[in-house]
Amino acid sequence: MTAISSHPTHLRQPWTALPNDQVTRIYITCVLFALACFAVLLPAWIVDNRLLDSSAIWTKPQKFNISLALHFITLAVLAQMLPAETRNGWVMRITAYLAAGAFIAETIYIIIQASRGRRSHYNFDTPLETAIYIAMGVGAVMIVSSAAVLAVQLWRKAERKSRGLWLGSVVGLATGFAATLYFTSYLSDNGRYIGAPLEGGGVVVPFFGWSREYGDLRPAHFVALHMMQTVPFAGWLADRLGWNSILVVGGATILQLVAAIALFVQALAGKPIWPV
Amino acid sequence: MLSNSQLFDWAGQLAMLGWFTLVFLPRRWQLLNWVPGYIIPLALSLLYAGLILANFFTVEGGGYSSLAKVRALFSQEELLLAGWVHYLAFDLFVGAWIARSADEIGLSRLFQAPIFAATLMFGPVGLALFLLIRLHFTRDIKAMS
Repeated sequence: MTAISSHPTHLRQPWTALPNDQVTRIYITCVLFALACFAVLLPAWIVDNRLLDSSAIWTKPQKFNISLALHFITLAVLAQMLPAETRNGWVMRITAYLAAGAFIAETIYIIIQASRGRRSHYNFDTPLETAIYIAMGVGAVMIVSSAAVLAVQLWRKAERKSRGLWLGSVVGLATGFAATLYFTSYLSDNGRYIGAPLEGGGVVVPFFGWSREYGDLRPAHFVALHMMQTVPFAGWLADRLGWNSILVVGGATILQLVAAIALFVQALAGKPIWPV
Repeated sequence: MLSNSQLFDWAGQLAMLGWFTLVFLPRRWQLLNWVPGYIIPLALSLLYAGLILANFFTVEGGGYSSLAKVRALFSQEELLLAGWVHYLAFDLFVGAWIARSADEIGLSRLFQAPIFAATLMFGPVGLALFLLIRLHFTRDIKAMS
């Protein structure tokens, strides 16, 4: 591996003023990679009318591309609250490389399986696909763990001038991580639907693909996962508007966590999120 | 005379040697960079030149101006092989350009590897991936020159 810092590096961030250090670069490059994959898959998404488990085969990689771009831009931005030495210390660097490596491997596999019209997750059809599905679980943990590591580092070392943003980031990343780990482990053991086979949940919510006829565990996963964005944002907003950051961050966290749990319980009861 | 499938195998092995160099070997020796960048593409280009020039005008109804004429060309095995060698030569040359350009903008080899994989398998898919990622850096490339 070539050390990035030894290059005459010229990273440009038109939309932010992020510095050009190693960990920021890794996360930003993940964002760029996910967005580039999204753009390259667009034509296939439009022309390819093959279906897998009753949704267009390219929808899944595209959802992952969007979601992971959002994940990594969140990490890149929130990591800026850390002093540069901490941000590029060995803990953050190892975490970033593991997350980036897992992200690349998962993205490639999900795209390959989509193009073959086969499942990437829940695939036990061949020994190889079973093994890779298990490995993907490890990879997914590495990707979301990057949020937990950042939460801990922010808690210990971050600049706390923007108190709401700091608190929101620590709480949002940590809670989002824990809830995501719980919901996804349940998802991987039980499949996405309650009461319907993996092949299809009947009528679905457009784009998201959540069943409108059966219990679907993915809305809870979605709401929990995106606490990593909404709670820091709520804290940032509290700073801007001069509100009490503990109340705002605490309130936002509880609201969203309760919403996720309610969606989870609803799905377990076999009820759809948006009945037909 | 060598058989077409023997030539196909050798050309593929030569190209793979170039891709292996791009993905795994260090970039600090100029001579080593020339292997995937110039030497192998040149060798493949010469093989292509031999195949295409010896066979292009021998096919009844062959040509470039319609899909049917192109299909006629490819129905002759020497020209099918030539088309394949064309892919190998150009994809590797593009791969080596991606390597140079990616080093210039400081893109980690971790991210270069999947782009090479995409270029090796589906040439333009890898090129498009890299060009889109590179978009982000181009303002500074201009500023540098």
